[in-house]
Amino acid sequence: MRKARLTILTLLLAFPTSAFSQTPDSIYSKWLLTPEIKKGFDFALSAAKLTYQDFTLRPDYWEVDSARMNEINQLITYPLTLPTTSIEIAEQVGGQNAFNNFTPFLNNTGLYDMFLLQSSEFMVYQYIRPKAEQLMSRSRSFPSNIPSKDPILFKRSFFTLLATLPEEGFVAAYTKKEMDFIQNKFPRTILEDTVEEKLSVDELDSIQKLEEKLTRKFVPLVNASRDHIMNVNIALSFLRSFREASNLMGTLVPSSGKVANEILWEDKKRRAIIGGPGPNHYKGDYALIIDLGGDDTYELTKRPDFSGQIIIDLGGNDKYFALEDYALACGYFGYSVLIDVAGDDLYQGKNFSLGCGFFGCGLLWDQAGNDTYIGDTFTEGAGGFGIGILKDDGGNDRYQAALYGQGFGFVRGVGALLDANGNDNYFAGGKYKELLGLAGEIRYQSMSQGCAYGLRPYLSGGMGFLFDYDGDDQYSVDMFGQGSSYWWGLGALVDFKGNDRYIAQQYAQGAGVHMSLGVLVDSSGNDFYLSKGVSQGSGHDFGAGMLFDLSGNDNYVAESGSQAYGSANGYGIFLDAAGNDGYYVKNRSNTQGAGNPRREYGSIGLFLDCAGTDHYDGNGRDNRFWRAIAPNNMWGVGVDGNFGAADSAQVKK
Amino acid sequence: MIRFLLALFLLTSSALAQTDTLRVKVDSLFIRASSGLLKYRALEEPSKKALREMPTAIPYLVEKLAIQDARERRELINILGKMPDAIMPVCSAALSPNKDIVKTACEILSAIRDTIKDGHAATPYLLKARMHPELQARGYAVFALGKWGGGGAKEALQEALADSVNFVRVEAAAGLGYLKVTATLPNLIQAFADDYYGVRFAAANSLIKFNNISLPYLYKALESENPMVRQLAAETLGKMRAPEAVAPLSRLLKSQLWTDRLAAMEALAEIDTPTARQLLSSHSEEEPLLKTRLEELTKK
Repeated sequence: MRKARLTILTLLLAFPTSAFSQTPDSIYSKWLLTPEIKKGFDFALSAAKLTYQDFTLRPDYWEVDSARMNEINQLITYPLTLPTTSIEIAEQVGGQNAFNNFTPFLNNTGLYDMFLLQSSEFMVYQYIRPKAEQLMSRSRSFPSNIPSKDPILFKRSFFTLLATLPEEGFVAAYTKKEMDFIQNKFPRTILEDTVEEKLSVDELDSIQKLEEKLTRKFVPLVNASRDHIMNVNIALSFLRSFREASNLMGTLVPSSGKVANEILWEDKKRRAIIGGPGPNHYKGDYALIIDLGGDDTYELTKRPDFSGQIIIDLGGNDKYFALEDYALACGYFGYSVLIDVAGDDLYQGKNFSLGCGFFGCGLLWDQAGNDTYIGDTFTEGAGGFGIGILKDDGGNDRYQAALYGQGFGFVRGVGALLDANGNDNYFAGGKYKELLGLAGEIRYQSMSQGCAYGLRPYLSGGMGFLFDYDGDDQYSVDMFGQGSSYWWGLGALVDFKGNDRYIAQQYAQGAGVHMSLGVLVDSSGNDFYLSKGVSQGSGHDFGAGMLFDLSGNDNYVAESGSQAYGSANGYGIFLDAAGNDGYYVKNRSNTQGAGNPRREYGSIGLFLDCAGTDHYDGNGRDNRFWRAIAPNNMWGVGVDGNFGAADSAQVKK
Repeated sequence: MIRFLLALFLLTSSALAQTDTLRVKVDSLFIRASSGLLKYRALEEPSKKALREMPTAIPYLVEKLAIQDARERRELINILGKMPDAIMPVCSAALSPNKDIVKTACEILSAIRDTIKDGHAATPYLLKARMHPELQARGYAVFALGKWGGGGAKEALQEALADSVNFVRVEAAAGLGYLKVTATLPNLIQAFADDYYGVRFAAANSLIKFNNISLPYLYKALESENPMVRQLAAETLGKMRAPEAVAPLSRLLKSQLWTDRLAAMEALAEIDTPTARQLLSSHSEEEPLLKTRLEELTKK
C-alpha cells in the first residue's frame, strides 16, 4: 500500500510541464508594487504603443525539454511578475521557521509537497524511532556530561538523528556504468580548466564537441521519470535529518572548554562522533559530527557511499576545509547538512561545496559570526538536479567563488544564498577566462550571485537566488551575475536594506539572456551600480531582464546596452521608484529605454523613473519622456516623471 | 581478375581519400569560421570567404544543417546564405522531417534570396515547409516565402498572419513587406490591432516598404475606432515623411485622447514641413510630460 502511495506520489511529481494558459489581466495588477509605479508604467506603455499583454514570451519557442521547470514556463509567459515573485520568494524563505526556509526550494525542484512531509513524519514514527531505540539500547557508553538542558532528551534526539542517516547510498536509479558516467565523465561539461586559455582553436573545438557528446549521452539519463524516486528519497531523508538536527540543537546549551581533541563518544562503524567543547580536529568522511564548542578544524572528504551527512558545531571560531570535490556541505547522490551555531568561521571548499546539491540536497547554515567562504566551482548555494543552500544569519561576511556560485541554479536545480544581515562582500570570478570575448575583450566567467544556467540547447536551466536582507553590501562579478540567467532559467538577486554597491562587466544586474529571466531588486538604501553592458535591466534573445530599485538616492553607470535595453526580441525593463538619482551612460544609441530591431521587428526597452530630482548623462532628462535614437532603436521608451510621491514605506518591504 | 580488383580498389581508395581530404578541409575552415574565440577572431572572415569560394564545399556544409550549437548555426547561415549555388540542396533540406534542419534551411533561403534576384525556385519548397508543426520552422519558412514570392505565397502569408502563434504572425507581417502585393495592405493595417507588439511593429515596417501605395490605407486607418490602429498609422506616416499626411494628422491632433495627440505630434515632427511645423507650434498641451515633449518636438 505504501509502495503504491509512493508510486502515485512519484507520478504526480513527475507529471510533465503543463500547457500554457492565456494571460489573464488580473495577473498584471499584482506585479506593480504600488499605484504610483503603475501610473508610471501606464504612461510609459501608452506612449510606446504597448500594452501589458505585450510582455509575454513563449515557453514553447524552444522545444520543452525534460528539465524545464513549470515555474520558469509561468514566469516566461508573464515576465512582468518577476520582481514581485522574487520578493515573495525572498520573504518566504527569509523567515524564522527553518522548514519554511527550505521547502519552497524543494517545491521548485518538484521534490516536495505536503504529502511528502506527511510521508516523512510517517516514516519517523514507523521506522526511525524504533531504530533509534535500538541504537540507544546498544550504546551503553553514551556520556552523561553533555551540557544539555535535558540530557535524556538529548540522548534520545541524538540517536533519532543518527537513525535518520541512511546506511547506504541512494544510487538505485542508475546502473554502475551510468553512475560512472554521471560522476566521472559528465562533470567535464561543468568544470572549467585554466589550461584551456592556452589551447589552439582545434583543441578547443574538440573539447566543445566532446562536451556536446557527453551532454547528449547525459540527457536521457536525467529524465525526471528516471531518477525521480531516488531524488524524492533523498529529499525525504534530508527533511527527516534536518528536522531531527533542529530538535537536537534545541536540547543543547553552548559551552566552552580547553581540553583539545576530546572525543566524548564515537561510533566508528557508523562514522558518528561527539566532540568536546575544546578545540578538536576532525579529518575524514564523517556521517555525523556533533561538536560542543571550541575552535575546531575540519578536513573533510566526500562520503564514500554518497549517503547522508550531518555536522553540527555549537561554537568557536572554526575552520572547515574540503580536501576534495563533493565534500563540505555537498549533497551528492545524497544530502549533507552543516550547521555552525556561532563564531567567526572559515569555510574553504573546492568544486561542489559549501551548500551544494548536485543530485541531492546540501545545506550550510552559519547562524552567527563574521565568516569567510571560499569555493571554486558549483559552490556557496548551488543546485543542479537538487538544491544547494548557504544560509548565513549574521555578521559581516566575505564570500568568494570562481564560477557557478553564490545562489546558482543549474539544470533541474535550485541554488540559494541567504544572508540575514551584516555588511557583506560578495566576489565571484577571477579564475576561468571567458574565451569568446563576448565583452569585446577577455574577461572572467562568473555565473554567480543569483544566476541560472542551462545546457543549451539540450536542458533548461534552474533557479539561482541571492537574497541579502540587511547591511551595506558589495557585490562584484565579471561575466553573468547579480540577477542573471542563460537558457530557460531564472536568476534573482534581492537586497532589502542598506547602501549597496553592485559591480559587474556584462550580462548582469537584471539580465535575461537567450530565453531566460534575470532580475535584481533593491528595496532601499542609496545604491551604486556599475556595469559595462547588457546589464541593469536588459533582455537578450527572447529573454527578460529587470532592475527594480525601489527607493534611495542611487547612481547608475554603464557603457552600452543597459538601463532598459531590449535586444534581439528581448525585454529590458528598468525602474527606479523613488529618490534623487544619477544616470550615466557612454553609448546613447542603446541605453535608457532602447530596443533593437532584430528579426524584422523589435525588442522592448522600457525605462522609468517615478520620482525625485534626477541627473542624466544620456538620452534621459529629468521630468521628460523620450524615445531612443533611431535606427538602432525602434521600440524603446524612457519616462522620468512624478507619479505621486512614491513613499518607500508604501513600497513592498 | 585480381589486377582488375586491385585497380578498382586503388581507384576507390584514391577517390575516398580525396573526399576525405576535402571534408577535412571544409571542417577545418568551418571550425575557424565559427569558433567565436576572441583570440582567433582574425581567422573568421578569411575562413568564411574561403568556404564561400569553394562550391565543392556545399554538400559538406549542407550536411551541417542539423547543427544545434547557436554560434555554428549562425555562421552556417552566413556562409551558405551567400552561396547561390547552394540553393537546390538547401531547398531539399527544407523538406526534412528534422525541425532543426528546416529552420536553418529556411533562414538560409531567406539570405540566398538577396543574391538571386530572379525566379521563384525556392517557393514550392517553402510552401511545404511553412506547414511544419514546429513554430520557428513555420515562421522562418513564412518569412522566406515573403522574400521569394511566386504562386501561392500571398495566400500563404495571409493565412500565416492569422496563425495562433505570435512568432509566425510576426514573420508573416515582415514577409509581406518583401512580397509587396497591394492586395495584402488591408491585412497589414488589420495587423495593427494584433495583441502582440511584434506583429504590429512588423506590419508598420512592411507598410513603409510599400511607399506611397500604402498611404490611402494609412489615412483610412487614422480614422479607425481602435486607438492602437490610429496611433500606429500616425507613427508609420511619420516614418514615411509623407507631406500629404499632414492634413489627416491634424485631425488626430485634436483628439480627446492624449495618446492620439502624442502620436500625431511625433508624426508631424517627423514630416517636418512648414505646415506641420505650423501645426505643432500652434498646438498646446497641459499635461507636464506632454508639454515638455511638445516643446522638444517644436524646437526640433
